[in-house]
Amino acid sequence: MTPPVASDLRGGSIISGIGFTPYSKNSGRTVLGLALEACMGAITDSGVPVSEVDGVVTFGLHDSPPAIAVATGLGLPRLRHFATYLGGGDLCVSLIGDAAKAVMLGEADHVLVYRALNGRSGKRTGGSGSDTDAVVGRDDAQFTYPQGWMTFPQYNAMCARRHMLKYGTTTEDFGRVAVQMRANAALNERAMYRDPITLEDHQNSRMIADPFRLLDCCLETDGACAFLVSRAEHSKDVASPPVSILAWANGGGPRPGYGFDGFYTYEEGADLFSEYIAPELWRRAGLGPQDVDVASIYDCFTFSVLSQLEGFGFCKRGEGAGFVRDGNIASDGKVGVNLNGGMLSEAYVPGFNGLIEVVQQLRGSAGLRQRPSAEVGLATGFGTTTGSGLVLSAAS
Amino acid sequence: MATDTDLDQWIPASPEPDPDSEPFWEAAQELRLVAQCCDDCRALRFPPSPLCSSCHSWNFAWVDLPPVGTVHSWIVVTHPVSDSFQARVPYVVAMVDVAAGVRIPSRLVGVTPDDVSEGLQVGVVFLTTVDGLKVPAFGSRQTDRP
Repeated sequence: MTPPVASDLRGGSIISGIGFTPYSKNSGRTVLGLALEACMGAITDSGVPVSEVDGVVTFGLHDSPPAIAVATGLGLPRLRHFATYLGGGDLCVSLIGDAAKAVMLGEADHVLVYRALNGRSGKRTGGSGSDTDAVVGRDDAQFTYPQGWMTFPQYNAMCARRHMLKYGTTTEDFGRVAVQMRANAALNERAMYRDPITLEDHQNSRMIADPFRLLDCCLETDGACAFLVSRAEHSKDVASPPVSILAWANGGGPRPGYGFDGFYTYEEGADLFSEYIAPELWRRAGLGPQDVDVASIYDCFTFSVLSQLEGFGFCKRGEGAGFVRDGNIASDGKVGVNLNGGMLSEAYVPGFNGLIEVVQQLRGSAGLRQRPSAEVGLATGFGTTTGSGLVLSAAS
Repeated sequence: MATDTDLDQWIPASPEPDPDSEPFWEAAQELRLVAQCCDDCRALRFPPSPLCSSCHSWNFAWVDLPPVGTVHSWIVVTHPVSDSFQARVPYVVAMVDVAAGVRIPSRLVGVTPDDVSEGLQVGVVFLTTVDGLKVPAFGSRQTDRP
């Protein structure tokens, strides 16, 4: 029996505004300041009066201001929907769905979704960069940290190795993702790294946690991004071209892990969350991967892109490397992936700077990076064993 | 001055046991590697949890695990994350399959990056932390270590 869904919600809501700060290594500002700048940007972009914003949703790893702080900072007269989720890359884009549900149910009219962090100058993701003995005892870190296994690059390198063992993927295959992201960033004035790199540069970059080299790992960034989500009926009132929210999904498979430390309970690190959520995502959207023009594929690591291209159905299991090698993710390929340069080259505002790019592409406002006739977009969030997906379209 | 062997055996950070994991760490001090076995469905589980995720029984016993395992995946850490691990790089960390339902993340002691492969058989060794606690890990089966 097909459950009653969610496809009924298709197109009932829009992204009515977007906002973002400059991306840097040292903002010299509070995360509240960054969040407020991005949120004011999104509200101004939409043309909705600040006083009509009545919902606020965010996520973080204790490194982002909570929703109530932004509601306070903006002076919202009334809060009708709010949530501060614990999460890194996993939930991120599905929080647009959380906001979409709230506006479609009439809980709220205009919901802000944001992420702010001083991810380089302040609290670095995963607690790296300090002598982190204090993290021992956090979740199941007692079984990982004493073994010298304690960061996201180290955890995901273990999964990347599985992909190499199971499918014959090579580090050059990882490198091709990094090279493509940097080539995309060259056309993006917001990107933190724009100088082109070659496969040789990738192979010569410093080893971090074999099989990952420096250029397999995303950036660390200070910055913020925000989105305003409204009901589709507001499409005619908003100041910027609205983007239609078609579908979202989040989840994963069995034994995703007791914490964010290592994911070693998960059966097969070569095949991650995306194949579990993709069927429902596409069914809800009434579309498939072949319909996608532009995508933000969460690229915390090069390997993560290969794994998700397979899981979301752009190619078969184990064929991600070949799909990239054949040029399919280039700006003029089958699907333009991370045309902003991704988190590998533009910035790391988990999943959200990529979502900004997808919205701009669907609006036709991506400047030099604009992909002709970009009508359907995908954005993803990656938490290794769990994650999320969001399908958007240019409003007709 | 510490020798290479000392460094290999020494762990800069101590685990902090919790009520679920205390018996695991107590057994380790007696140089035993243990896991929970469900009294009802006999499923082994790791890391410790009060509930069997297979049959949802709360009844379990701690049992000794075989002191050997096979390598499922591995990495070679070359970039130290913190000062404590600076002297240790490069080192190998693996996920070691010990029994159905029991996959243990572990330093690989006495195994060089060139020696490690999928399916490599490894044996239990016990390392010592700065605080004198014993921590189970795995190492080359050719290397007899206390």
